[in-house]
Amino acid sequence: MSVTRRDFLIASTCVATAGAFPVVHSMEVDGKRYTMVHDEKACIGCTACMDACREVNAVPEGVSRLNIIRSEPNGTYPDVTYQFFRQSCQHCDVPPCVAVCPSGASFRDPDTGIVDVDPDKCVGCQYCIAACPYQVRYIDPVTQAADKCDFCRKTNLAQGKLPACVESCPTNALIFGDLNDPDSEVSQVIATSKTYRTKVELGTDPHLYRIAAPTGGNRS
Amino acid sequence: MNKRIYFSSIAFLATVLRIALAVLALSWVSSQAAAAGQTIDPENCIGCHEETPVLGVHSGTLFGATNRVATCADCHGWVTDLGQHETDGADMVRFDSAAAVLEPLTLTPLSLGVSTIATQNQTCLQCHSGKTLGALHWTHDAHGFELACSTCHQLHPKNDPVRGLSNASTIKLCVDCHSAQTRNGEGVRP
Repeated sequence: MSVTRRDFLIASTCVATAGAFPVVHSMEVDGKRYTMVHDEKACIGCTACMDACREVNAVPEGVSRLNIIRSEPNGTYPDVTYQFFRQSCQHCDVPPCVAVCPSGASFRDPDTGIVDVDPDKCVGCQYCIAACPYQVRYIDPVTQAADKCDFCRKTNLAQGKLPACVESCPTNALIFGDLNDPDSEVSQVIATSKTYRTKVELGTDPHLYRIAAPTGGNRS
Repeated sequence: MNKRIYFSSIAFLATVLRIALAVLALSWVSSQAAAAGQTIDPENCIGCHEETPVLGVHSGTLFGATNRVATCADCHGWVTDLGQHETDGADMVRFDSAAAVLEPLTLTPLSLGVSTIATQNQTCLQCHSGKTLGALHWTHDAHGFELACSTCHQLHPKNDPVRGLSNASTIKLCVDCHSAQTRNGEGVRP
């Protein structure tokens, strides 16, 4: 019987998940739990968020922390709609990328719940890239370290501002805040709206929530 | 003998047919002349509208429906009453971007003389197919109902500013318009 690398990673993720789950939650009793909602009903697919992210976080050309994936057109002109899907780090409570990292470069900040990378510790083995079920990691061509969305932890957030994507969205389709605060907008939206998350069955507990667009998508 | 009668009958019928055709042709020509009497030659438009010559991509372009160089009337329609036309131009198709943006969002009546989005866009769609436009840029699809082509495109000037916009400028265009909508509480229409 042969064990593929994928099987190995899945198995190791499950082991890590079982061990990490109670620890993670005990660590954030008093901390924040930053969470994002992408309202696909409000998103117009302008990709201003992608540009803002690149600029604020100095993301080199050729790689990106954030992509807005546009669906194929639904319908025929002029009655055409599209759906837009945000592809970026989900800031899992049980992040497989952290579990597989051999050098401790990938970590989950217990004070904020943000999953981040310490580029000085990263050895560029790319295990995290293989392990991430959301396929949002890449090797930064400048630093040669793994990188991905950090909710602007080291840039905008450190300056007391909202993440660049949230700031730049013209339709307020991105809502960001502390899920541990029941009065925060993000908590209110999640409590009162029908949201969904992707690949929850893997036990990753992602913290990027989505409000689904109507069937057939949006018209700008 | 039967054969000769037969052939002379055929010749007679052919003559009658020719005369009928000639009468029909004459009446068509005279009706066209009458119609022409109620309009002005598109070539004359520029006599008054000299400030708006067509210099852009539509200058000298072939109009598919007539297979000749496009004239003012192909897009703006024919003037049926010159006096009325000089007063308000209400009988023409007028491409006005500002009113076109406001019309569907606020559902307010159009200002005098501005054509509806549907009227404006139908004119463009005589030559441009929706499918081709969508393939050129997906935003054509997304705004088919809400915007007139003239909201983004300028066709008379030599250069249409929207063509060749950088990616950043295109995004800015989206952001500027949709931010205003968000501020006004209009949001995305389902």
